Amino acid sequence: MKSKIDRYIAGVMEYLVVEEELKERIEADLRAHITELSRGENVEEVMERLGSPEEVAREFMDSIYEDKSQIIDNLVKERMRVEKMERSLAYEYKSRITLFGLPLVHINFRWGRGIRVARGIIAIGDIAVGIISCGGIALGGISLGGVSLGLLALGGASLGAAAFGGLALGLAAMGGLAIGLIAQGGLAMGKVAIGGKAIGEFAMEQGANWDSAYELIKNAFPNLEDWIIRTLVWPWKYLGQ
Amino acid sequence: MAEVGKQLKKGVLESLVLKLLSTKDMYGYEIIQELERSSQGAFSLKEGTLYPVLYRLEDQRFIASYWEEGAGKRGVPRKYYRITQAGATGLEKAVEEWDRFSAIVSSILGGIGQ
Repeated sequence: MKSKIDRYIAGVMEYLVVEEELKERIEADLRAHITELSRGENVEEVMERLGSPEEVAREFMDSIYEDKSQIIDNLVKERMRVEKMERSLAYEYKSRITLFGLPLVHINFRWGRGIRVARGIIAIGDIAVGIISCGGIALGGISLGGVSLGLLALGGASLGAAAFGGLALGLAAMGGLAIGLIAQGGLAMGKVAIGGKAIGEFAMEQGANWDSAYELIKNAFPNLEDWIIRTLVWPWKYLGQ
Repeated sequence: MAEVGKQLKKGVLESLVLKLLSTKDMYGYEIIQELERSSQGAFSLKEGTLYPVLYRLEDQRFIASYWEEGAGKRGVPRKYYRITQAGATGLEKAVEEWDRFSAIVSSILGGIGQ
């Protein structure tokens, strides 16, 4: 467990903006100094007399940086360090191969501040735009992301011809809350609605399974291709009773 | 004696610390106490002011430091500072410079208004 002296010194170190080597020097001396002072008096009184950690750090820096150019040097170094760190927190890859003027693969994202956009046939990024896109916000043919928009969209919130996700909106929508022409999910709203709570012209709440779901959609859309219906009701193989 | 102005004080601190260390080896707190005592309170230094002065002197090799384990009543390790040969020479030069400087300043200040 850290002693009061340790915590106090750690506080001072937090406010000190000096080179690491000098910091270590100050830490050792300050520790010996405070320990020496607290031989004759209560450690709390010693700390009170010395001032807050911020005040002690200021006093040190005031004495260390007598020359303004030293402060400027340190500020520049600190800025370079932050720049380097920020650069290392980002990643970008762009393939040399292009199609329709777009890179085949573009990956562009970062941790922390800032948003990066990836544009490519296959795009992965904070915001991704592509034929196949994956990201926080994904836009494209097949999109996968927190928020996704595409022909086939999968994500937390998805909007697409076929949409799958927590909130799914689309011609065919499947998810927690599904809204669409053919909606399937916890709460389903649409021309065809199948789910825990179903609201629609063709609605089914109880006893939904692969056969009944297939029949319901077939009745609602008699001209719809069989393979599309089979694809849409495919999850009922596993969910149905 | 009233406390000496901060900037004025900074200009002479290195010389004063060297002078103190020329009498005997001392640790940080001892230097603060001794400086306060011998200046009758005019030089009441904070830790944050003293240690960087010691670092500068040490980097110039005017002083050297060494740890003494188990010194003091409770056996607390102390970091002692001692003046080096280069420091003693530096002190002599600093005293000469100060004499010249103070004589010039005194002569100008003394002459104002006369």
